Amino acid sequence: MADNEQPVGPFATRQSDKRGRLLGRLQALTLHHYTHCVPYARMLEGLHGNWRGASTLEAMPWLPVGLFKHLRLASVPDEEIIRELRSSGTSGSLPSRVLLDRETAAAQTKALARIVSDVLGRARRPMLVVDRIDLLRSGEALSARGAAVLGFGNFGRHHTYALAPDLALDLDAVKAFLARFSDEPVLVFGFTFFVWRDLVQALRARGERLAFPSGSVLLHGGGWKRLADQRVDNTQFKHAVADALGIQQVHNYYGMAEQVGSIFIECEAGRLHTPDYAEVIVRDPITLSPMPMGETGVIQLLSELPRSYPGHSLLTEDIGAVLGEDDCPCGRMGRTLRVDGRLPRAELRGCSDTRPA
Amino acid sequence: MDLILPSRSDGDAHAQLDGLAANRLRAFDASTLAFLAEFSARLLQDHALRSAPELVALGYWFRPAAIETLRRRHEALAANGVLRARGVVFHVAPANVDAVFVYSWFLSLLCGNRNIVRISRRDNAHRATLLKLLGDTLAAHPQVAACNAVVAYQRDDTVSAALSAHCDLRVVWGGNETVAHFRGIALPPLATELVFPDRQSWALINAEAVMAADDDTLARLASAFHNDAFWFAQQACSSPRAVIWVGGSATIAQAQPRFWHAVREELVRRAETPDASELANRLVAAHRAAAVAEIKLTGRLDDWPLRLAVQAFTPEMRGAHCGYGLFYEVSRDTLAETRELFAAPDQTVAYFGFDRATLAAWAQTLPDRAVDRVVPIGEALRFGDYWDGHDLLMAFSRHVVIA
Repeated sequence: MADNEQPVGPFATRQSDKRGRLLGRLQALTLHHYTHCVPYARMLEGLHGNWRGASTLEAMPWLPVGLFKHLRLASVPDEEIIRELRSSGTSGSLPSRVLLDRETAAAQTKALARIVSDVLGRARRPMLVVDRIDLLRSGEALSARGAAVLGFGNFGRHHTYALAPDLALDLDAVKAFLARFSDEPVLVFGFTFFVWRDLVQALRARGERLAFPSGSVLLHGGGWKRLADQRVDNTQFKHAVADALGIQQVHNYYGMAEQVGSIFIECEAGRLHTPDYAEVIVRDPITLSPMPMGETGVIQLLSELPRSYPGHSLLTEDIGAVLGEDDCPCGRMGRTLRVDGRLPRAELRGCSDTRPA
Repeated sequence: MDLILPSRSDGDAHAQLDGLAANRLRAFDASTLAFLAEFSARLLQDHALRSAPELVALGYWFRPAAIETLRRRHEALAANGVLRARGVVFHVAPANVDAVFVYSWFLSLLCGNRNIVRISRRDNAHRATLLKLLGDTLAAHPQVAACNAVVAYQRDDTVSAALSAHCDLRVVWGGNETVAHFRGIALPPLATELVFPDRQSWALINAEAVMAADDDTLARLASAFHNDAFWFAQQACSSPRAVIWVGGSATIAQAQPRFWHAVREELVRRAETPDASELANRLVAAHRAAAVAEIKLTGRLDDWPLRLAVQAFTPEMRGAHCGYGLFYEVSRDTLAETRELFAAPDQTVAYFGFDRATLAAWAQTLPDRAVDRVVPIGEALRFGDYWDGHDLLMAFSRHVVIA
């Protein structure tokens, strides 16, 4: 979508230029979804009455991201849908359903490629996937994890899986991978918690340390909640990765199944970066008003990629803050973000709630 | 399976269950009455439970004077013979409304039954206090303790089947899913079942009466409405999820802001503050409802309560309602015109500004299964010995005809 206008990568546009461009595209998307998705049109008419007059990104209508757990929303005819993504969902909750057509899937792939190559360079590296070897074999709707492995898999070659179907570390496979690619930087990719528990901790438990080739990169995402529960933060995570794997370059990313492609990637300075395809707005958790930079609130994500479903403006249940604009020491433009976790889930108190334990 | 109550030195749930068969109490047995009197007194004196109004209400409900009223009603019911206990009653209690398992259990106990009560393992401070208090009271009443077992176990059909196989009445609280699940677990041929599936409830307000009310009346109405809707975060089956306004459109247009202003004042007065995760749930529910029906937001999305003007209640609106201060509002010119709004799952209508005779005539016209309780606003959550259309004293008893 945005390629022709940005020959220099997805983090090159200054905030002032970017917002005007995004606004036009997002307004067009709102109209597109309004015209092609009846439930979306009803939601706008019923709950976001001023949507036609939205003249800033902050005034754009949004959908609560939890809606995708309950509704199957599409803005293209069913026969054009080529893929349905299912998010893993927080434990015990329903998965989200995201419907992709060829155009949206391609735009996601392209956006992801540009974002990741800005950090990793363009060369495809040998890739170690920290996930179950059979992840992509099930015939059902693609899980968000599967989608991420497929998407990020484009940046690697000689894909090797580090875990057995039961998530046990396949140390022989990892060692064989290392022996084969001992003299070129490799890419290690996985979900944050699996990298932690099933690679780093599993190695520790066996008293093993690995030495990945210098220049190797670990890319990981999927959320910190389960690590936060174990009181592990990003700094400790990086130290442990350096210790167990010998990898110094570690990039976290923030993204969600509902907006695949326009991810927020962590730079060398440790900040999550908003790509040109996206914008982030932080809102007061109670009044929903946009908050000043630096203040913590609920994260709204805007992305120009979702065309097959009305997910271009989503109010998440994640908490975080905008850290700055065009001012990151790493030199990338746009807003930088910090993500602190999720809103606690409201307690169920109804008398029909009989789930034990 | 863990035995929660009564406390036994060996903690042996199976021994307690085996012992139930050998023990008998009569309906309104003196030992039961003594036990309940002590329970009620302890509960009402407990400082830790003062902040749990539903538990205070529970203590009040089982005070001796109230039990005497039940006793007299029980006696009258047996006019054509005698009421006998059913035998062993297996109660499946909901996880989050602590008081419900006690109401169900004690009414059954009063009718002379032996009881197995299955509660969830989920804990909170109030429940722990309540269980401690129950345990202490049971310890002082061994005869009653011998007739009851409160147990907890993970969802395990072999345990549920074993308990079901030994009961004469199974009582399932807790929604459609739980009811459907237990219906798959066999009961002995002579056993019966009492189920409490998902229900929905509404408020019914006469707009003219709101306009006629003075400020004090309005403040009391708001306070009563608060109790109905905001305890249990509007998620009990009898919590009103919508307000049905009756009156001319001009009157309703005036009455609505007056009423909701008073409700917000009440929230301020009680120093209740909105919660971000509850707002997130409200927003999802509002969007789900708006996706399938014509809905108009009144005010703003961050309002608390969040109000949605609707034409009627769709099944999706009923199913997607999450509680947490989300209200549908629908208007009708006359009470008669509200009829088509009601459906079988409707349980309680909490009203303001209508007289009893009018409501009784109106209730006759509602769809077959719809509406089991029509109560003044403020009493929606008040438990009664008639519930979901059942006379619980009758349901927990067997009527022996003596001609």
